[in-house]
Amino acid sequence: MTVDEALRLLALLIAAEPAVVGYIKTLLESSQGQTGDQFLAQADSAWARIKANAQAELPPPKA
Amino acid sequence: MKRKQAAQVAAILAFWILVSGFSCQQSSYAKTGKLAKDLAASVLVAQEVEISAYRSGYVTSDQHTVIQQKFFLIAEAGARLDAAINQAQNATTATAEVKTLTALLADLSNNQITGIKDDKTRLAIQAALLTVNTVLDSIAAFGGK
Repeated sequence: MTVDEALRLLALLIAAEPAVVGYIKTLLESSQGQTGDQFLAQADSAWARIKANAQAELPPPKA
Repeated sequence: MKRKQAAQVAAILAFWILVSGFSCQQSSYAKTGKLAKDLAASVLVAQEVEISAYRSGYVTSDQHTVIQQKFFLIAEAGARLDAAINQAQNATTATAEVKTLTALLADLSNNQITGIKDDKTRLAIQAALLTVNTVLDSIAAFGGK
């Protein structure tokens, strides 16, 4: 991956909702002193968010 | 300003990837849980990159719909993987979900993302998915020990 491509990826990420970027940063930074259950709870929260994002992006089912 | 923000996010991502394999003094359960959390976070990054690319006009509506359907399936498999890890002894289910995730990610990367015509956008999303695959490989390797 070239520097240009890396910057493109980062630009796309930065262009995402600031709240989402903040959430991702929190996920990535929270690595110390936590239990397995706490990590898994964070993972579950992220999966739920991904599902909600996907549902929001998908067209409504046709009647 | 955007370059500064990009540099900050890049630094966090790089630091995270570097330390994720070297964090010590954690139980196997905590390490696996952390990998599961990192996996979900990296998928979320890839999804946000794609959504942003779609909103910027680099991905067609049809491609976007199919890609987001795949992300939904990946999230469902990821949640099942978490449940299997939580049940500790359920290595068989965990291994099966890792295989499911690997197949879904390969399909997404090889079949859906390759259809994006804009070269830079396609490479950017593939790069994000590469991070996902790297974390998933760590889970598979860790689970095999």
